[in-house]
Formats: sequence, structure tokens, C-alpha cells
Amino acid sequence: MSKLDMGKAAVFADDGTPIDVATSPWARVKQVLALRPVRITLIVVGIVVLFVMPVIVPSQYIMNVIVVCLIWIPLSIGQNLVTGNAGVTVMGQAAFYAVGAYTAAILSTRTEIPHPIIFLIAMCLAGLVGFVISLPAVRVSGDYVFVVTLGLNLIVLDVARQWIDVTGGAAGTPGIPLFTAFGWVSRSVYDFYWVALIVAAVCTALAVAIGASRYGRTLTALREDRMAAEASGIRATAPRVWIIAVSAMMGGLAGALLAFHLGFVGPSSFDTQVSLLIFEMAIIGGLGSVRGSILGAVLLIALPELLRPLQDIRLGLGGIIIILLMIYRPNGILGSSSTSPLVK
Amino acid sequence: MSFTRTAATVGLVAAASLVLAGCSAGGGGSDTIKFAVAGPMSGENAVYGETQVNGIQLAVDEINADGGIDGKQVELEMFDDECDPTTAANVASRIVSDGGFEAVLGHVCSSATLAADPVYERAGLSLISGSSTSPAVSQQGFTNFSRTIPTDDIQGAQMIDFAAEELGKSKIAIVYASDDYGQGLYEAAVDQAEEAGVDIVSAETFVPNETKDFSSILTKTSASDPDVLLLFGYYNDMGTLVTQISGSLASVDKVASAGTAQPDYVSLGGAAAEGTYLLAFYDPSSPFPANEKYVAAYEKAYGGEEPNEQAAYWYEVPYIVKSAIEDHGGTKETLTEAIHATTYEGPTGKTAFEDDGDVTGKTGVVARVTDGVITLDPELTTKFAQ
Amino acid sequence: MGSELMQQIVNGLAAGAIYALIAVGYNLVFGLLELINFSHGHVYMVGTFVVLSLMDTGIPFPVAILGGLVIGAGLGMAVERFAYRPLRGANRIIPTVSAVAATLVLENAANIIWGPAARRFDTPLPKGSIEVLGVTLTTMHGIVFGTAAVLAFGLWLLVEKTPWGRSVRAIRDDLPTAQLMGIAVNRIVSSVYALGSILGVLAGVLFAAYYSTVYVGMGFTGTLNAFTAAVIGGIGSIKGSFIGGLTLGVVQALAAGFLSSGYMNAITFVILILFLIARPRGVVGRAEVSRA
Repeated sequence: MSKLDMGKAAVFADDGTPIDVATSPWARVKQVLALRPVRITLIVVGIVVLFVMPVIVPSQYIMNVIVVCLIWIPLSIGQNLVTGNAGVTVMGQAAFYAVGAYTAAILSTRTEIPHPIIFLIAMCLAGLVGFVISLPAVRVSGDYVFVVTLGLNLIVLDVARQWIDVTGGAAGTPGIPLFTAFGWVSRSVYDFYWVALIVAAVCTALAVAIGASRYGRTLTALREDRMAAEASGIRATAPRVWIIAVSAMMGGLAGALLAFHLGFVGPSSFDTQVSLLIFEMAIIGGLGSVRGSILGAVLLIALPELLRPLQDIRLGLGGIIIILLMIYRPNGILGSSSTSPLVK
Repeated sequence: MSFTRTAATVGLVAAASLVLAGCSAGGGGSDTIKFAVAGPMSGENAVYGETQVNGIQLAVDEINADGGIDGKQVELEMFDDECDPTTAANVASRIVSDGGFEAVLGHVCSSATLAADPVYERAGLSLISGSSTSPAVSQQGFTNFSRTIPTDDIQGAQMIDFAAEELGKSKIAIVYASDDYGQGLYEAAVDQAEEAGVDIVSAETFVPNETKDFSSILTKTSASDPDVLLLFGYYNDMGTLVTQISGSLASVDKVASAGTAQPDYVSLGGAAAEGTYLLAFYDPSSPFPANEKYVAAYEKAYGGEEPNEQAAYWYEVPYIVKSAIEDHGGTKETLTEAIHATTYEGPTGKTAFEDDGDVTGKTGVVARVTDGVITLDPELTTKFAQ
Repeated sequence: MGSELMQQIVNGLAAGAIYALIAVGYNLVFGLLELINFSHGHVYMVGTFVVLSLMDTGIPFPVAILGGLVIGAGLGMAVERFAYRPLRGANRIIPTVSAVAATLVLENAANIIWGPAARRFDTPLPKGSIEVLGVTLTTMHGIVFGTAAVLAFGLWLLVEKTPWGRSVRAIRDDLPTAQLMGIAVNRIVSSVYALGSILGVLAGVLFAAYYSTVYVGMGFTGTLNAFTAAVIGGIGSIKGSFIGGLTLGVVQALAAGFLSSGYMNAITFVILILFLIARPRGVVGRAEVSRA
């Protein structure tokens, strides 16, 4: 099997035999129905639980933790699309997060633009910043990308701290109104859950779709062996530029969620530690694994929130787990056998 | 990736959420009255949180020993905002979602208060602060806010007056923190300088807790040839800053704002901090009747540690709340109104409130770093108070 | 104005000399393995804190420095042994991810041990200053410049004139052939990490003494500034480290002094990005270093 073929085989049935990647939506539904009943039950239960969540969660505090987790999911998934699927070590997801959050904060406090539109603007602006930074980022060689994007994070942070008239400087922008859409007002964290759930679900679906698409396989081929991929006619630059832009858009959406959730946006939400945390949560569950990114967000956000002592050591503990993972199981805790082996 | 995985993902999130939902938070009894204390308990500014808690705890212990508030024992729960606005907003939503608190005693940093107060306001909780000094806080028009300490407007103007009148200087250089504390002081100073007819020859800013290399700022300041240096910021940054002063600037008088008046300023700054004038609104040797008893109690409770401005103002806060509830009929819903109607005589003098929640009638003190200790200068203080 | 300009340049050169010493650590490793040792800046920070803690217990300054160097070198070798060596030959993304993870472990550990607050770094080094043509030169300026110059010369001797240096150069030119020729590659690589860490910790002590403070955040600041210096000078080149470090230091000081000190990071990284695009091999980059 050549390297390119390995990237292609994406779906396995439970008994381990590969299933051809289906192209039409209907064919996919049939594939799902062909799976074991246990798994279908799990899926149905999962979806039901997500829908009745506000009813079954007794305390606002727990609901708050769940919503915060949902906010981090687009960040984690976006990071993993770029690092896991495309193999580009971007380290500035907090920059896009910041662009989205400040856009939402500024527009919602100073204009009458409807909030759903603000989400779209935040997404597009973050995507634009991602697009612009990706141009130098994909041109410089592999490891430099890390520093270029971390640099972007610092530039955004400088602007957030210094451009006081617009961002509020170190003091930030307070007083963001309650999220309102089509006459419906999100009055509590129970209401806001739906907003966060929709955004997280859309990002998850998009990431899964990208991973399964031809485009996703192109990225994997580029990650595995750029020279071989280019030799077989794949252009190296454009796919990477687009994936960085898409990941930035997800960051922007997360930023808008944060702004409306907290009612406040300030620079300390976006320092380099945040970029590092996002990097960790994306990788810890497995390179290129969407499930893994979600698990990472739960592991590094919800768990430390509930078990306070974990909070102080989460960054280091995550680091140790990742080193061990890179050595023994580079496809991650949940990394499936379908991902091509990264260690040659 | 495939649909299978999406489905598994959904299951995973759902399972995780169920685990989370399994835990639940508790509530408080009816024979106690609960307050949330919010401030920086960890991080760079943890010193402020420590003195805040010391002051509040001492007062609450006294109140409880004396029968509590309206016969109810007072309970405190601490919340750490790390002096960071984002964390403060998070903390605020945790406090609000608990539902069992009568009021919030906090926050310390103005940025934290600005970020958190809208959350309390929405939930109908009152907030009372003994140290958020930014004028911006009361300008927001919050209906649930009170503070017991004068704003930076007043201190910024005072510092210019002090430099111009007491020290007789006319070429003023300012270095200020880029957050609302430093900015608030700076803006007030600019207005006052115009009125007093003195020149601000240079004004440089830095990022609090971030900037460690002050050499370019200090070189620029030095080039403007000032005869006095005003420092608007926190003790940790200022402690590092003064050690990097060299050349002709080393002999220029330094006047620092209350945020710098912490013993750690001297331990960070060492010899370079010597002689700095510190303007504040409290000193342990203040002449107010209630002060002597308070200082003795504080020193006894905390192993001989001298109370500073922070501790004194926070010590008064539970007493003010007690008086608002007992003497002015304050309930959870009407507490802010009741606080604004309260007057109180404490270690920092008389406390009364304006309609926007700001305090009135406080007088400043002048201290100086002498032989490595922050010491009140009674002569300057009396002269300055007039 | 003239003396202010000169003063800013002197300040910048001092900062730049310190960046250069950290940058050497990157360039030594990169020259050998074409791997960016992200955790280097953190080794430098931890080593400096060790020196501070040793001084706190009353150990004299020079002995404390020695202790910091030993721990720093050991840490550098440990990171190489556990986070990088097992991954040599894997897909490039793997060691990069593990390198980043190693820095997170160090950062978190330092935060737990020494706390997030900046600490005062007080040394028995003489304090004083003289005024030359309106420019204040402190004894710390002299110590920083002197130490950097001595170390630069010593490093040149070591790489160019010793058997060890010959082995390093052989590995740099062609690792597989060097291995075939019987050079103990693992041992040499390990010693290069140790040497880089030692220079890093020395730079850290200079930094801490010069600004009289030590704090956990200096790990990242160090990483980013030194890495930018390495890119400007030409990654993989020792001479380039010094050219890049001094250039960056002066540019930053002038930008802070005459444009805005608040935007210093932004200015630094715009320069870095421009260099990476326009002149990716830096001022004196080796022509043969070219990797996808």
C-alpha cells in the first residue's frame, strides 16, 4: 500500500474490515444502519441526552461547566484539523479566538447588528486573519510555523492591550448584552447552552465532513509525505491555506460564544498559555481525531474545573501524557486504526 | 473520519455530561447568612487578596462573637479572581449560580469589578468593594455597587498637588500601568497638572505583570529631564522598575500611588525603593478613635503583622453591611440602597456614600520608605490634609 | 536626543547579547539535527531559578551559578533523552509536538515550584555607573558584554579547534556517515544539548542580574526572542546567533524608545515574519541548510 492509499482508507466496520468511503448522504445513512445495534443505541441515547440536558442538569454551576466545554470544542477541533489532519504546527489558535471575541464584544456593545449576524462577522474576520497569516505560514518550513503563529498570538495580544479606544486595553470590554436572536433572549446559562451546542455541533460536523472528504485525504497525504504527494500532482499550498482559514473561523465562532457567555472580553483570555492549552487538548485525544479533540476539551477544561487541584497541574500533566503518547501511541488515546501510522 | 465517528462523539459528549451532571452543589442553612468574598487569592497579585481576606475575616469573627448579623452567624466563601477580568467574570457566574449568597464582598482590582458586576447586577446581587478605585466603575451606572475607598480621580489629583506644592516640583514625569488603575490615575493627573500649572514632561506606560524590561521607558523618561517621578501602579511592577533606574534619574524624587504601598515593594526594590513617597488613604498610626483597637486586634490575629490600607478598608466592609441590614432594613434585594444610606465610623475615619456608590470625605496620608520600612510622615500628612 | 539614541542602543546591545547566548543553544542543536529545541528557553528559565533558590539557602553566588549550570545541563540532556531521542526518524510532526509538550511540562513545574510572581534577583556583583558622552554605562553593561564576548570566543575555539568540535562538525555535515565513521552520535548530541543549556543558564543569570528579576514568563520570552535572533542571523550558524541577537536587541530598544514600548512584541514578530519570507536563511545562513 502506498502512502497515499493509506490516507484514503477511512472507515472500518466493527470487525475490522474496511468499508468503502461512501459519497452520497443516503449511502452514509445506509452504512450507519449496517452497524451493530449497540452502537446505534449509543448514538440515539447520546443525541437524546444532548437534547434533554437542560432538564436533567440540576445545578447552574454544572451547566456552566458544560457550556464552557462546548465553547472550547470548536477551538480544539479547529486546531486538530490543522495540526492533526494537515500536519502544520500552528500555535496561535488564541489569536483567532481573540479576533472573534473582540469582534462580538465591540459590535454588540456599540451597534445594533443582530447577534446571529455578529457571529457570522466574527467568524469571517477570524477566517480572514487566518487566511492572511497562513500565506507566510505555509511558505516557511515546518517548525517555523510554530513561531510565526505564536508571533501572531503576541501581535493580537499587543493590539488588544494597547488599542485602548477600541478594545478597552488591559481593562477589556465589559457590558456585552444577553444573546438575542429572532426575539428570543438567552437569559441564563440554560438558554445559552443551545447557542453553544449549535455552534459546537456545526463545527464537529464540518470537521468530520472535511476529514472524510477528498480534500481531507489530500491534507493527510501532504502531511505524510509532501514530496510524494506533490509528485502525484497535489498542490501543497492551497489546501493548507484553506484549512488554516477554516480552523481560524472555528476559533472566531468560539470567541463570539465566549463574549456572549461571559458578558466581558479582556486580553488575558487569549494569552499564549491559552494557545498552548488548545494545542494540548487537540493533540491529547489523537492527531486528526475529532472524537479525540472533544475528549481533550472535556479532559482539560471540565475535569480541572470540577477537581480544583487538577487545575494547577493540567498543563504539565497534559504535556507528559502527550510525550508518552507521541512515543507509544502517536494516533492518540482514541486514535483509531484507520488513521495511517505516523511513525515510519 | 465518518459518520460513525460523529455518532460516537455524540455519545462521548453525552456520557461526559452525564458524569458531570451527577455531581451537584449544596446550599446554605437559614440560621446563617452567607457572603461571597471575591479577590485575587492566587497569582501575581495574591498579596492583595490575602490582606482583603485578613481584614474581612477579622471583622466577621468579631461580628460572629458578638451575635452575628440580625442574630445570624456570618459565613464566608472565598472566590479567586486572580485579579484577572476574565476569571472574575467566570467567578461571578459561579457565585450567581450558587444562589445562596446575600451579597458579594469584592473585587479588588477595578478591571475585575468592571467585568464581574454586570453579572451580579443581572442576578440582583449587591457588590461592595473596599479597594476597586477606578472612577470608571461608578460611571457605569451600576445599581448594585458601593465602595468604601476614594477613587483614582482623587488620588491622581492629590499626587500632582503633593509633587507641586509639598515638594515644590514643576517638571513631572509619570510612569503608569496600562490597565484602568494606572490609566485612571494618569488621566486625573493630567487634568490636575493643567490646573496647578505644572508640566508633565513625560508619560510612559507599561503592561502590568508583563513588562520586566523598563530600560527603554526609563531612558526616555530620563531624557525629558524631570525633577520628580510619579509611579502609578502595583508594588510588584514598581519594585522591579525602580531597580532598573540608573544615571541622573536615580537622584530624582519618587512618589508612588497606594497600589505600591506594600512591604513587598521594598523587598523587590531594595535600596532603590528607599526614600519613595507613598500616598494612601490609611496608615496604622492614623488618629481615628476606632483605629487603635483595630490595629491591636489585627496584629494579635495575624502574628504581629501591621495592617495596611487594603486590610483596613476591607475590615470595615462587613460592619457596613451589618449596619445596612440591621439599622436600615436592608434585605438581599434592597441591600445596595441600605448601604448607601449607612454612615460608619471606623479605623479609616468616617464613611458615607454618594448616590452612585462612591465614598465621601476621606483624607489622605503620606508615608515614606525609610530604612527599608514604609513609615508614616506625620508632618507631611498633617500639612497635606489641609 | 543624540545621547538618548546612544543610550537606547547600549540598552539594546545588552539585551541582544543575552538573546545571542540563548540563540546559540538553538543553533547548535539545529545545526546537528535540524530540530528546533523548543524547550531550550525553559531550561534557561529553570536553571536561573535554581541559581536563585541556591542563593536563598545562603550558598555563595559563584557556587550557586555552578549548581544552576549542572542542573540546566542535566535538564537539557534529559529532555533530549526522553522527549526527542525516541522520536528521531519519525514523521516531523511527532518530535515537534513532543518538544512543545516538554516545554509545557517545564513551564508548569516551574509555576508550581517557584510560583507565578516575579522574584527579586540580587547578586553581589558590583553596582555602579559612569557617564560617557551623556550615556550611562553601568557595571552590569560591562559584565554582560564581557561575558558574551568571552563565551563567544570560547565557543569558537571549542567548535573549530577541538576533537569534540570536529565530531560535531562531522555530524552536522552528514549524520549517517558520521555514524559509520564510528562517531558516538548519541553522546555528542547529548553533550551539545548540555552545552546549549549551560550557555542558556549563563544567559539567564545575566538576564536576571541585568533586570534584577526572575520570573517564569522569561522562558517563553527567551524562546521567542532567541529564536527570532537565530532566524535573523541564520539558523544553524553560531556567528549568526550573535549577529541576530545584537540586531534584534537594538531594533527592539529603538522601537520601544521611539515608536511604542507597548507594541514591542508585535514589532519583533513582524520583523521575524518578514525575515522568514524574504531571507529565510538569515544574514549568514549556511547554504546547505534547506529543508521542506
